[in-house]
Amino acid sequence: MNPARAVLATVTGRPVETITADRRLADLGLDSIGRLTLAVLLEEKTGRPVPDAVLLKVVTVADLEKVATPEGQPA
Amino acid sequence: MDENTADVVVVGSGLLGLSTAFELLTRGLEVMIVGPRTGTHNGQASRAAGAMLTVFSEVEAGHSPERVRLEVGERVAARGLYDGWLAALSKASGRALPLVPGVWVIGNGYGANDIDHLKAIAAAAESHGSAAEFGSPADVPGLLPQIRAQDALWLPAEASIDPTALMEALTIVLTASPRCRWLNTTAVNVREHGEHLAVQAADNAVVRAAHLVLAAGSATPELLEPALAQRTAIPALWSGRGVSLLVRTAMELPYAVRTPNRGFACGSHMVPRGGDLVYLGATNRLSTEPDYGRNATLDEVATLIHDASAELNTGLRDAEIVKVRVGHRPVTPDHLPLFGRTGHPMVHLATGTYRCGVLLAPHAARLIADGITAPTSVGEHAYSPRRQILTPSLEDLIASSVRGLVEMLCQPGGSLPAGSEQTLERFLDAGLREIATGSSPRAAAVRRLWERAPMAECLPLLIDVAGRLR
Repeated sequence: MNPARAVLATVTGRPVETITADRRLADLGLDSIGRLTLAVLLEEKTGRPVPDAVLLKVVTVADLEKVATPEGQPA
Repeated sequence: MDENTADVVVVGSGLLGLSTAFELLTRGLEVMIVGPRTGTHNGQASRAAGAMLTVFSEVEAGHSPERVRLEVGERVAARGLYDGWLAALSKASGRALPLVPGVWVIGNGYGANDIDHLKAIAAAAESHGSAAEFGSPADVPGLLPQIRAQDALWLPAEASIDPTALMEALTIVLTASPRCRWLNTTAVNVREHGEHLAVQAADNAVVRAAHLVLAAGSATPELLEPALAQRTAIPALWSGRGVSLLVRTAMELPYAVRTPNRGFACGSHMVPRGGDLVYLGATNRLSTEPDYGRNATLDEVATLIHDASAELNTGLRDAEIVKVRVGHRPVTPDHLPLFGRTGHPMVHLATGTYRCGVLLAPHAARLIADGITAPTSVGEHAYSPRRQILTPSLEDLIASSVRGLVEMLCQPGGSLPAGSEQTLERFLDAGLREIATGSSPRAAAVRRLWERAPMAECLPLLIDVAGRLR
């Protein structure tokens, strides 16, 4: 299962079912430090790096799910 | 001139950009400015500035003698130019630009080592043959705090000015000049285009010039196309986000009054703005991803109001709020400005001035203009963007800055029982070191944030991020 939403729920303190694919991270109350903790937790869960350059391009929950998905696998 | 080309394009319409454009015009060049002329100027440091000409009072007891010598030397040079520069600008614009001479620096029990800071400030002034007179806090006009001031230092060579008047005067001169064109928009991209540098604006206009001056504050690096970014090799720039208030009050305030720097900020200060207006400043929070459109938060305003009434004048509680401003002060890892040529001989920087932009503006304008009109005459300046910037290790920074961290945590107005400040300092020191060298996600987050902005002002963010990961 894609860990993006579970990690988002942890970082934002919101119920996981309220975190839908089309929501923007900014609207979930994530500031720059929130985004950084998100990246670090996602790295820990997936074992793959989420560098700042990639993180900067993430706008929506769907974007984050793509980042958390290994290349070539469906989300 | 051709409508889309000039000798120099200046990107940015803050005080540094406009001052540089003014200097280039006086040297006979054709100048194009790309930056907002009208509008709210949200986030612009120049208009949110207290604009005290702090030649000496930004010195801190913990600064190295080399840093004090360098920075104070440059500020003295800038102050030496100021009166003549203002006179020229006033004449050209037809606007009066009064300078209010003198600044009082007061020390109280809020800062653990205010008296050490005051002594360091006085020593810096005296080493430049400038007066620094210790007096009684009772003699400081307008000072009526809740927290009793213990010391007061009068610096007659410092001064204050209204930066809005300065910006308006520059705008008048620049818009009236036939050799200056001002695109009232925002630059979005800068790249090389044959022998020219091309600036693309938000309205899709493209302008070109042989020389480019980047004065867009902490937004400067992101404007550059990758190839140009590599060639210019601009050092990192972040923002020290600050909030200030303009208030209307019946109190008499003939001179600016400030505390020394503390808790990574510039202390509290009140600055006369003519008539019944007084400026109150300022908060300072490091932003690694600044949001220029974000308004002041209640917390920022509460801190300002509290510190101003507790440390400066309790009567300020009755003052009427006229304006709340947010400014993003551009700051480099070594806290020194970036003036002059980059790794690309035609790209010049005018930024990184942090808390001293208003004072340094005429000095910066000359240095940058020299790099364009007489490049062989300029040696390697200490503020050159091509200098080597050394960043401290996290361990060293923790050791030297944890006291400031405790001061910051106690703001506004808090104080810990006797002895517990040291206990908390030691605990934070130990805890941060332990986390920074660990292998948990918390450690990874702390190190990652530190790598983004390796400077003392990052410490409050480090304890924030460490605490968020549970």
